[in-house]
Amino acid sequence: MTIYRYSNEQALLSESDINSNPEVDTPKGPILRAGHWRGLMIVALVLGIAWINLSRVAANELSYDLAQEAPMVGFLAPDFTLTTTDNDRIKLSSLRGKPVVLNFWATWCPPCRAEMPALEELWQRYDRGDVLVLGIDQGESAVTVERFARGVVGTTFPLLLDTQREIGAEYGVRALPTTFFIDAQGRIQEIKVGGPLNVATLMGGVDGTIQ
Amino acid sequence: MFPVINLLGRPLPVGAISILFAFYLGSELAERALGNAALDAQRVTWRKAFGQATLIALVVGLVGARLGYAARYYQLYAESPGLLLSLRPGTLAIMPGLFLGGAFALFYLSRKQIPLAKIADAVAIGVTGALVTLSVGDFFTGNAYGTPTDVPWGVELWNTMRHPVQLYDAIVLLIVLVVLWYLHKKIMDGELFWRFLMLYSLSRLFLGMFYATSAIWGPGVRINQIISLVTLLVSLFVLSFFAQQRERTDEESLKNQKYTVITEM
Repeated sequence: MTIYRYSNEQALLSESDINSNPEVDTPKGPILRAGHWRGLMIVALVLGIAWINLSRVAANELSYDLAQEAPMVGFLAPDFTLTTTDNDRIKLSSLRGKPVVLNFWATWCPPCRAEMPALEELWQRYDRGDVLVLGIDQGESAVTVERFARGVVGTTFPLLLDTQREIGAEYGVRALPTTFFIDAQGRIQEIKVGGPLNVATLMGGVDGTIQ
Repeated sequence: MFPVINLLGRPLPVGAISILFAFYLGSELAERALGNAALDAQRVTWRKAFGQATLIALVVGLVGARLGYAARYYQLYAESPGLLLSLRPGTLAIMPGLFLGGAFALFYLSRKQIPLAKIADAVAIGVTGALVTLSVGDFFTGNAYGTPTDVPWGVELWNTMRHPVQLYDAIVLLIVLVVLWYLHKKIMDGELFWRFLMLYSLSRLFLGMFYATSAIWGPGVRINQIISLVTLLVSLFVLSFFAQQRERTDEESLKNQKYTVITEM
C-alpha cells in the first residue's frame, strides 16, 4: 500500500504519482466529453445537409398531391354538381376565383339550426358573394329546407340539396354540422366539425382562405 | 381515419380529445419529473406548486387565446362583446395563449423558488409525453399525413397508400420519452432540456422526409428539416458546455479526493 506524506500543506508526491495510483478512487468521467459533442456537431452538420438534400421533394411529387381531390386540408375540394332549392344547378369547380364556405347541415340537427344566422351574417358581411356560402342539406326535401331556412330563419344564401347524401359521404361527413373553408383555387384550407359556429369562427376560417 | 367518434350518439372530435389528453398526460409527467428532481423535503411543495401553475397556465392561456383572437376581429367583438364568452374552441389564437399561459406559469413557479433549469427539464419530459399523444391523435384524424409509398405497412388515405408517419413519430417520441425518463435523475440540471431538443430535432430531421405536409422552400427543401438541423446543432453546442462543466467538476472532486487520502495518513 502506498503511503502518502503530507506536511506543511505541501504534497511530497507529484500530481502524476497520485494520478497513476490505482488506489485513489477517481470519479467517473462523462461518457461524452466536450470535444466529443463538438465533433458530433460536425458529423450532424455534414450528415444533416446530406439527408436534407436526399429527402428533397421532387417536382412530380409536389404536383401529385396538389392535383389530388380529397376532403382534407391542403387538397382540392372534391368536385360536385347539385341542385339548389330554387332549382338552379351549381358545380363547385365553376366557382373557383372566390373563397367558398361549404356547410353540411340538416333541419333536424339543433346546432345546424343554431348556426344558420351566423352563416347568413357571413354572407351579408361579404356583400352576398365576395365569399360564397353554400348550405348543403343532407337527405331532406326542398320543401322542408325552404320552409325552415327561408321561412323561419330568413336565410338568403344558396341552399343545395344532397338528397342521397352522396356528397356528404364523399366529403367524409360523420357529424353535422361540418363546415369546409375552400380558397379561391379550390383547395380546402380548414374543416370545422361540429357547431354551432359563431360568426367570429366563420370569419377566422374565411381569413385562412384569403391569406 | 376517424376524425370524429360517436359516443352515446354525440359526435366527439378526436383532434380536440387528443389535445386535452396530451395536456393532461404532459402536465402529469412533468409534475412527477419535477417531484423526482426535488429533495425529499421539497417534493410535496414543488409538485403542488406545479399543479397550481398548470391550472394557472390553462386559465390564463385560454383567456389570452380568446383576447388574441378578439384583437384580430376587433370590430366584430366590439359589436358583439358576448362572443368573448363563447364556448367555441375555434375562436382561440393559439400563440398568444401559449405565450401568456407559459409566462404566467413560469412566473408563478419562480415565485415558489423552483430553479428554472429543473422546470425546463420537467417540461421537456411533459412535452415529449404530450407530443406522443398528439401524434397518435394525428394518425386518427388524418392530419400531418405521410408521403405516398409502396411499403407493406402503408395506410390508405384518399385512394393513395401513404407512410403512417404519425405512428413513426409516436414510436420515436416514445423512445425519446423513455430515454429522457432514464436520464432525468442522472444528469446536470438543465441538461435534460437540451438533450430533449437534440433528440427531438434529430427525429424531426430524419422523419421530415416522410411528411407530405411540410412547407417547401425553393429547390424542394423541407423548411422543417432546416429548422431541425439548426436546433440540433445549437443543442449539441450547448451540451458540449455541460460536458465541459462536468469535466471541471470531476477534476475538482478528484483533487478533493486526493487531499482526503493524504490527510487520512
